[in-house]
Amino acid sequence: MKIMEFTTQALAQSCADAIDALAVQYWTDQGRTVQDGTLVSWNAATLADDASAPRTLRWATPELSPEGTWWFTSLVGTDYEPAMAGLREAHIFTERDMPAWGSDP
Amino acid sequence: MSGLSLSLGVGLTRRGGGGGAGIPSIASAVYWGDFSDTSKVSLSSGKITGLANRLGGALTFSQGNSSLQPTYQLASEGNGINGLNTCRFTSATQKLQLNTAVMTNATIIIALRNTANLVSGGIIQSSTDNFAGLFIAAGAGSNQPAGTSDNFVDGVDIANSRQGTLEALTSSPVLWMVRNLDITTWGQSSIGITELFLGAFRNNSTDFAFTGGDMGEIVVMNASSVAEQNALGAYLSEKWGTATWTDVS
Repeated sequence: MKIMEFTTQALAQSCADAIDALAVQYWTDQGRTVQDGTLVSWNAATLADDASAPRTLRWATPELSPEGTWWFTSLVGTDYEPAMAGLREAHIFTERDMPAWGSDP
Repeated sequence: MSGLSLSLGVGLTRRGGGGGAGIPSIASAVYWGDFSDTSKVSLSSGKITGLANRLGGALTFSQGNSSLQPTYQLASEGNGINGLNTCRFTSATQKLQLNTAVMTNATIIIALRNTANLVSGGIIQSSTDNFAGLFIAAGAGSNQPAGTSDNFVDGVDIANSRQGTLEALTSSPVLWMVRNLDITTWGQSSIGITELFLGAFRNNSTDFAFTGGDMGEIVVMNASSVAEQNALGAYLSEKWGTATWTDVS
């Protein structure tokens, strides 16, 4: 699994916010129901939108790594991967496989 | 449910599941989530956003971050367990989160399968870097908080060690149970634990490992009786096709 890694929380949050803005447009283009910037889920039985069910709120919440960097899961390998090119131009981050941080707690 | 084949919508079929035993009444249950019950599952493009409590109420395992949502496994596509739909955790940070009441004597039972054959992971974890059901090959330490808590697989008491848990979690589905869990002290926090994470565990305040497998059903009980544990174990083992439940005492 690839991660996007940032030197500061502000840089990470700025990029995460940009991804969320792109996602809203993507969902809208896909004909999905977006309310208040969040994606409405559907019920697995009826396949109908369920406004009362938990929603998709964002792509990710930046987390502090043991190395002092801020990171979240990369878009590589997801439906949103085409957005990576634009993100690489507009934001400062590195990409790498997720390290085995603290693999034996 | 024996032999039932019921179409529930496009690509969604609930079928299989062993036995004809009825659902037992578990008075101590506070949360009961069943991924095979499509009416309780909410989705977003094949990813699970929530699993509602079949007992009713607002208590729900959920995940609002798209990057952390696990996938829904459809029995109609040859996935799942014993002909039933499941939840699959396949990425290092995928997890579902339950905002729960603090319990001093919790019992948690989960039908699961270690599909990734991982040698490191966690089944369920608190919001403050503690865990239960941690498994690591030859790892030191216990697999859950010290105290009177104990854990079982298919009703058989297993060693409270990471290696013991790893050996018990095979590619065949099992019923894993932890009981006598004091969640108020689980995270070594004076405020107790208010969140449970399913499918991932945290260390150094960051997500990094996971169960790497399928989960079918999870029941969280508070101050459950042995009779309830055995009734639930018998019911779930038949439903999910795990080894015959050995009554605990």
